[in-house]
Amino acid sequence: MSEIYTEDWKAYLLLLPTLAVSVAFLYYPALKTFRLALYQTVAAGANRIYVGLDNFVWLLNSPNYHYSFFISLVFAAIVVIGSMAIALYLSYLIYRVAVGTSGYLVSGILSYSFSFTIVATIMVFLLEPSVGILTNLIEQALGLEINWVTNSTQAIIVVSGTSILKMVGYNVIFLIGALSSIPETINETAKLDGIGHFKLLSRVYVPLISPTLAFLLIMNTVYAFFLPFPVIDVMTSGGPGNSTSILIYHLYETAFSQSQMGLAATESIVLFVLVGGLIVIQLFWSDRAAHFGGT
Amino acid sequence: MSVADRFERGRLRTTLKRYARLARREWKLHSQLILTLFVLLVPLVLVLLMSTQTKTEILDFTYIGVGSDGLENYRIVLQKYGFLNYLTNSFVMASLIAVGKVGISMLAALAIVFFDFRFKRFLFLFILLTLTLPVPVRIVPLFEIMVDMGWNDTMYALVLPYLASATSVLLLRQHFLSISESLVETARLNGVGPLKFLVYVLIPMSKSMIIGLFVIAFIWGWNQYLWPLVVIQSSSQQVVQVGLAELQGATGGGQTLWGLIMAGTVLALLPPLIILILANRPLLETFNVQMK
Repeated sequence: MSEIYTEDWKAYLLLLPTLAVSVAFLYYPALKTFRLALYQTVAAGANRIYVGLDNFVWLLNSPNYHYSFFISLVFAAIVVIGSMAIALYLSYLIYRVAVGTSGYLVSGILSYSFSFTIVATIMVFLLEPSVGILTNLIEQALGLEINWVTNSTQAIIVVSGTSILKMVGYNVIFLIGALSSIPETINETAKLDGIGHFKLLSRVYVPLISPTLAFLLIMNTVYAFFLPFPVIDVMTSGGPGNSTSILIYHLYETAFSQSQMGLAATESIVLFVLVGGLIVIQLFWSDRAAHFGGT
Repeated sequence: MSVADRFERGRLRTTLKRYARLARREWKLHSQLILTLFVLLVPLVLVLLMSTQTKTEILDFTYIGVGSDGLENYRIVLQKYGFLNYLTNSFVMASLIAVGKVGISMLAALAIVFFDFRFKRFLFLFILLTLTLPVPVRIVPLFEIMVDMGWNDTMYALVLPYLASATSVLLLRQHFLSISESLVETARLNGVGPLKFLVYVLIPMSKSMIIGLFVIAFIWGWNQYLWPLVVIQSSSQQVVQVGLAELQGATGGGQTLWGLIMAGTVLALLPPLIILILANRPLLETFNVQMK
């Protein structure tokens, strides 16, 4: 037993800072969100009137919001699958290579230190439709015309691709961790048998690290719903039209461009159900949620 | 040639063949690694190069190399576009978040692991469930609270909401639980108080984990965008992520000044990048990575 101290009040005192911040800045505002969702702002934020569940009904009937929900799912799916697949491939290579491992590993996790804002700013320029150097390269190589400022499909591809670039580092960190804990005897056997890389990865390693893959699947999905906000804000502002207006961006616009705080709170609740639900599954399913970014 | 000799030679040949196969394999791995990392990191290299180019060089597709503008773009961004100010604000914000987070999480973990008290399970769960409440879920009321308190547009608003950390508490708890029982028992027998136990036993034994948590929290704090965008109005209080997004309006003679934007990008990404490279070991260890 490690519980060597018994004075209750000392324990509460030690917990006080964390609990105080949690109540004041996490639970209290979250509860207020639920209350605010029952109100509607009239006359440019001056007054609030009680409207019951009208905000929820409004969202349920808004084609605009339906689209935002749909595109969030599409975006999340592309980003999660894309970044995990690239990270798995990269981690496997780093894991198997014999010389220069730590150099490759540090290069592979560099994107963990970049913000979405940074990666978005870089890609805005490199993919700029008329002056972007990568645009020019891709147009010459593939013979297609790139203009994601006006083309919705291209815009979705560009914002997802940019988010993938950022997410790879995070996934590599966990996948390398999982691969490193595989017993050495399995590697020796696999090497001696001379099985091809792809077969080895899909038949031997993926099943062995499946708990980590499941963990990453949930965390990446959670992240994909709200972290790439800067990518949308910097690159497309939700456009063209509203084609890249994912839920978090839609929420931001409702709250801070249209000043409809009640409606925005309702949108927060939708996000809470999606994100909170996934985290609760994660928490009760394993204790690895410890690694939830930095929150 | 004796039978034994022949046998030796045959064995040598198969060994050599196996080494050749392994070497080919290793070579293939290196080429794939270099290609993949090149694709992932080429934007970063291009940005570094382009941040030194002049207005015309940067728009020339064929010009890839160090530009003739040297560090001029950096000077302009720092002096005329407020980046010195943004960087300072970001640094203060990220440092305070990191120190505060790790500090109060250590106190909480100390209580959870080494104290026996009522409502322990409930309070632990209470901290854990904050994970379900990321900023977007509470952004509207949080903004209103800051306005009510008169804290919008100040460092309080940037730091306070980020201080509680279920992640750090959980990781420190796991780490504290792994500390040997005999050591804990010795502390108990010698009547060492909890704070002394924390300072003289727990912290020295968790150095790498603490550095790792510090790095995670610093990078997280430095990279925040949505909350500063909402809660900070005056540019003298703004952080570098939002400052960078605003810099994209920088134009001269009807042209976007991409060189300046690229220099600003490099300045904004450098601090967390350097910290990641310097502290990659403790960071990876914190994420449970054992190097082969």
